[in-house]
Amino acid sequence: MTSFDWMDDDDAMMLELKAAVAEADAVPERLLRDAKAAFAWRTVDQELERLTLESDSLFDDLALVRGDEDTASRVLSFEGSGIGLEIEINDRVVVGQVFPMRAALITIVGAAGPSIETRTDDLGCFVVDRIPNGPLRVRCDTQESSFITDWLAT
Amino acid sequence: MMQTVGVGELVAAAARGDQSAWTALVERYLPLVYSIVRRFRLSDKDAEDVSQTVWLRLVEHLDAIREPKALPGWIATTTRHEILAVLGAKRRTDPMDPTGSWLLDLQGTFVDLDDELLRAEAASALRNGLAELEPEQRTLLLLLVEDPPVSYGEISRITGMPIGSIGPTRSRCLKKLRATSSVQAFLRPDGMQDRMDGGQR
Repeated sequence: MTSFDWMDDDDAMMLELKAAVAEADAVPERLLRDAKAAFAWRTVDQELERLTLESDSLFDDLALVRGDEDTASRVLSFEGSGIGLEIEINDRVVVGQVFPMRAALITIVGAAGPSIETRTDDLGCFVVDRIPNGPLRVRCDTQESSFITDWLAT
Repeated sequence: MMQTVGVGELVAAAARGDQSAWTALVERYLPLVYSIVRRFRLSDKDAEDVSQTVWLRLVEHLDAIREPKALPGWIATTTRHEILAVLGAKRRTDPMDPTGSWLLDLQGTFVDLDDELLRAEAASALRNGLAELEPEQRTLLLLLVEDPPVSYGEISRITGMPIGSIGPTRSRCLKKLRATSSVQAFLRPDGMQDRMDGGQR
């Protein structure tokens, strides 16, 4: 554990204080602005049921520390009540499917830009060619209900 | 003197929709996010994406935070997670590194992050303690830690304090800083333990 010599040593404390002040000053203005602005999303889609992340191939691989070649895609599965959503992200293209298979309206919600809407086919499949940069979340509207995932950095 | 507001109160107020409480949380913990992000040499754009995702996720999770002392740990863990997501997506499409060895490299970088978390919390406690001090005390300490350094002569001119009393006054200000509720809360053994438990190792 780190020791806190500066509690009894003025010079050590001044160094600690200098680092603390410099650290806060170093934060880029844009990060501060975006972090403050994130609060505006608090009430957006608040009423929708959350789709929870069940698996993420990126972190499954990490847990195994696999050394072999991996695929270029990241596959994420989400679940809500009576619904599943699987998406595969590869180089800004998203391919996905809704389970059980059914038609749905899919919205890729970008935090930094416009959202992209698309309809699935009858088997619940969809493709979005060019997802926005920055954090995004996926909204899924079926005939019965509406769902949304948490934010993802991609 | 500025009243210190505990992280629990800030979280509760933000969950009720108080933008100023949210801003206070951001100002308190964004340096922690940024200090972790910096270690990974992300591009500016990736650093922005990671940070923004962390704060968006926190907005989503405000209602679910039951133990406010665990918040710094949650923020640090989420930051690491999103850094991996961003770096992972990049490496996977990078033909130069098909071996997956980057995972090992990254895990090496994570080893001492619990120390990093504790250090970042100490820094946050010091900044909040600074905000609790009287304006004259705060001004003196800020002048003394400026980079590049400000000479005692210049400090004397700005503060109207004789050069000879700068040293003793500094010592008194530091004593006050150690006694602030922010620094004392950080040093309380139970607080420290809660924070480490909140690190979700």
